[in-house]
Amino acid sequence: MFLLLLASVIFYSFSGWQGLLILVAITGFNFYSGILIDKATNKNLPLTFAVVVNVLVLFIFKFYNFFFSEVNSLFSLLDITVNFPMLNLIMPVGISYFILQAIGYNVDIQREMQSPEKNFLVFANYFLFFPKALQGPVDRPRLLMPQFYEKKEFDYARITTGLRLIAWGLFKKLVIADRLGFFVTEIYGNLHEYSGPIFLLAGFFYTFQLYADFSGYMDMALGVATILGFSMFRNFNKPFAATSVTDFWKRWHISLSTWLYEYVFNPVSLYKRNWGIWGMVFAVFITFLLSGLWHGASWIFIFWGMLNGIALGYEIVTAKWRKSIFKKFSKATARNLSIAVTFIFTILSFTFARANTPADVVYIFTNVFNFSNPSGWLNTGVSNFDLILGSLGVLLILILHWWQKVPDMNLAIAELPVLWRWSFYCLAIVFILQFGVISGSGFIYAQF
Amino acid sequence: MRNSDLMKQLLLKLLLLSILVIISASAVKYIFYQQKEDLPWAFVSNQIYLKSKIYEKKQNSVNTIFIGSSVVRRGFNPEVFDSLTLNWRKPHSFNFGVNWMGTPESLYMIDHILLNNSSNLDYAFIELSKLKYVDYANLHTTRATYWYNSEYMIFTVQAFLESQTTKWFVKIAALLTHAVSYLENAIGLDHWHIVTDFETRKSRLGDTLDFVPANYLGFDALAGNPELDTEVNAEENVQIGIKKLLNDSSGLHKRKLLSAAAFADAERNIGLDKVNQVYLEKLISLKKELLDRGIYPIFVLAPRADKRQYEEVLPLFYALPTQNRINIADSRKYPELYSVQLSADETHLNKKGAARFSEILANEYLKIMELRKSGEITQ
Repeated sequence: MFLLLLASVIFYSFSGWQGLLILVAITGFNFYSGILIDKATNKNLPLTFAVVVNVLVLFIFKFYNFFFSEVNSLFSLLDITVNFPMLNLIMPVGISYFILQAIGYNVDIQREMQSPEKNFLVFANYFLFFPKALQGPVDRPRLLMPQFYEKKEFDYARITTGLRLIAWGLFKKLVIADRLGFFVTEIYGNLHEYSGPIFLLAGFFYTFQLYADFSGYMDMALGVATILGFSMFRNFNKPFAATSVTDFWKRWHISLSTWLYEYVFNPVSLYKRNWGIWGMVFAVFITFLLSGLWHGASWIFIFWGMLNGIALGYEIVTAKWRKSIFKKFSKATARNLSIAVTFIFTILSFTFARANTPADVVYIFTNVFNFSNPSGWLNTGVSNFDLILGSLGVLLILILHWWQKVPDMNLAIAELPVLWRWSFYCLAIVFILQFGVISGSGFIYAQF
Repeated sequence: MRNSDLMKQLLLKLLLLSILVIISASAVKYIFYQQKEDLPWAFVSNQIYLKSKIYEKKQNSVNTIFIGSSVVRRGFNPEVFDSLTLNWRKPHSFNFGVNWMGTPESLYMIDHILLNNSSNLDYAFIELSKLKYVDYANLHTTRATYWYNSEYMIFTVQAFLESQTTKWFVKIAALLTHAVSYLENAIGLDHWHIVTDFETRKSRLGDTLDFVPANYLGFDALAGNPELDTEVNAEENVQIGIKKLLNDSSGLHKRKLLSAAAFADAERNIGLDKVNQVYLEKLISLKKELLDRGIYPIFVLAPRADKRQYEEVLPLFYALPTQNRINIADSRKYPELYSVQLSADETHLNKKGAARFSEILANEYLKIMELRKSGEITQ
């Protein structure tokens, strides 16, 4: 257990000792806050304190500059000379995920769904567990923490399963995501040089880049955790097969969605239960507003969160009506139609989220039907090879998502005859090494 | 089966799989890429590619070349050098200084510019540099891998092992990073991205190469056109460098003191016995090969080096024949090359500094020429 903690500490230390110190301090604080909440007769008081401290830390590192630069702008608009200073802080790696886990842990103790951890080594291992350092999953302590008490033994099958997961994650990240990234970066980085449907193509590619990047990381993280003998939250479940926006969020970044459901949606909807259906609409809107804010300190993410909140609210209000309409179609047609509509919404919403500023969003959506420069659409400087390989990656993802009876690939590979299996491994690794973008960028979701 | 046996079995299988992957990837690279020759030797960066293209154009007229690092790129002004050596012969020099260049990568440059190329060259100045290792920031980049072949790898390993001045942990780090880079090149890591990246850069450059000014001789950045610029943010970098230096010139002063101490020690033969024989033999054989091709090599010690450079390169420098070496690094002899007035930043000279650097080089070169003329040098 000590070695595991050391590995996690070394992992975090790569991004700077200052960040590591802050995370260790938050870990220490939450260790004691959990004990305090458990012992208190009025648990709400220490819980409120713990939540405020955690949110404050997140605010300082993630939102302070955004918030006060907006406040400064507002004052200057009103001709009032107030100038809040900007902070030059380095955000500790994975702090957004870290804080969510900390809040969840304290709330669970208050709700008596979790007893406070008394062993600091276990507690620190849970919080700093390095496979989930960069991008989660936002694991629940009640699911992961007990696993640190289990005796880990060498398990051949488990390790090979983990290695296959890592390879699949690497494939998605290096071959698909980073290759699609060339096109996406070019278009979004030079918006005013382009016009027309190319923006939709960039949004379409970005959606798959984001998925391959994030789910690729998750597979790698799960693979490492599996090798070490831990099981973690599965964060994705074929999101492009979602039949509604509500369904999409049950399949995309599942650990965050369920966290928001447990700790934001449920309390808010309960609080507003006397509003009936509108209470749920309100709760879902607040939940997604916070989700947007959590994703990034910018108006783009706030609007993006609101957009999703409105979509989910619409689905709640029109559920009965939509059901009656879909009854007129066959089951398969209704399903395919729902998938198509959700898919289009997903692409539009991610096209929105990828823009750098609200002005860029306006530019994209006002120029998307501008057909004045068709020759420039494909003259992006991105090679045909990158476009073709990226498109094949998109096709592969779509097949795996839309093919309902897709077999468990991990199991299918494991059951292949040894010669085929080894040939497959060898070819797959050579393919990743030679067609992957090794000198590429970092993970997209790590910035959130 | 016991757990320990299963563990051994797994490790063995992983090792076997790694070997299979390396063999398969190398085979794919050998069969598909090397025969296709889809990349020119200088593809790795716009700076090197542009210089190679410009040099190609001028190949029939250029008779003197200077190969080295950014110190050379920003220090050697061919126009100044040519004007000062005009009475001796009709010189036409070219500056092939490239950022971050050092041994062993420079051997690859020398192979392609001097040895694998039919040219009109009579003289080649080669900056002497310490054995470089791939630092963490550059590990896995194309620049760290593109030039590797087995010959360079063998030289690198032998030279690092032979080095008496390199600390053991630096040796280990160097050998590891070089091995990783070599392996990455051997298996064609990232190959298609590298090819497409080059194709993209090349298509962007397009015909703009035709707009390179006729008098551009490789000195400093080719600023103005972002596609043509041989150094991204060249002007901006100069401004930042000067600003930093004006705020604090202690680093430059330290380099001056370091140079003075290193050459004072060398005069007393301190440390000169630590010659890296592998490196020296490479330089001697290189000298011979160049002379066989009618190119007279002169190895140059450039100013503003660091401690490791002096420790490793000074014994080599003094082991080379006098007629094949020029020292412009000694701050006792050329204190002006360490002054703020002639600096662009701590390690590089500005335009005025380059003029002085080229003037000193021309004077030293003329001394060697006189010796050659008088018959004191037979080669």
